[in-house]
Amino acid sequence: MHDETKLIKQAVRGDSRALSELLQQNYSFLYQYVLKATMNKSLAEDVTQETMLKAIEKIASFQGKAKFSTWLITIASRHVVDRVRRNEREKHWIQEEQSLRAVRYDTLQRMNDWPEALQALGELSSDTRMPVLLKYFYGYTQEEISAMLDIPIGTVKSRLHNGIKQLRKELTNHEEAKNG
Amino acid sequence: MRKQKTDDVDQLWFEKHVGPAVNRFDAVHSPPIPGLNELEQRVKRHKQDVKRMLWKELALFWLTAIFVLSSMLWLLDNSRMWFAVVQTVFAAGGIGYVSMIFGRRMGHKWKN
Repeated sequence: MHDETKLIKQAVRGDSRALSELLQQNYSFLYQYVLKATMNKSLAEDVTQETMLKAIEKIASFQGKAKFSTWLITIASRHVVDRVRRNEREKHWIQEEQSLRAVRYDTLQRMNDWPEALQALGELSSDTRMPVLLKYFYGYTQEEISAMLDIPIGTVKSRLHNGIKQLRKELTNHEEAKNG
Repeated sequence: MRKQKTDDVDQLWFEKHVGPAVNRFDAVHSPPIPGLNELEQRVKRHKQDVKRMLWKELALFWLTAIFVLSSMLWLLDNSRMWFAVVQTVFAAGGIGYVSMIFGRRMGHKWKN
């Protein structure tokens, strides 16, 4: 932690090596978050790169109030929202389904399993999936999520409520089908 | 208080039913991490690109400003009436543009 604070100070002052170290330390964390938020491998790679470029451009304005990883997640989330809006405008819904299928296939290859929880999570819209992950997996508060995604707190609450409700429903249906 | 309890219940439910699957998903999808030197090169290159772009934009801004200012001074020298007309058109355009941007922002907030 102390090391990170020191690196952040150096990076903000323009030290490229310090910024590279910070980016390297947070690379996995960032990519894994974006992959879960998008459930799309190629989009996750693109957004990770875009986030790193944005971080390089904006590092001088980083005030260090939040952790560096939180700052990266905030940038990445906004990129994801932009991409999803663009896809919605261009009507790329079929691509979204295909990308979820591709992630499922890839995960099956790697861990010989595709848990129903991941399927249910993948079926949430990314607008809902992001607050759910940020709150229940990463432990951010509703206020923090509101600031990170630049949406009103009421919207965060309703998305969390709907997201959890949908997850419960999907998993309960699956359990019932398995038992019955 | 009741809301807090609901949050805790949801949190526990998520940790029990979804959390382990997400942890396993993370574990099998860890990306190859780029080397420090490679990243440093990328950081330096991007900083240079951004700097170059900013200088280009600044030069373009000054060129446009010089052109607009000299045209206005020329117009003021030659025809005061046309100078007034152009100033009025620019002012009206500016007000229209600002209200359009402001209106769009308000619309966005309202939708949220």
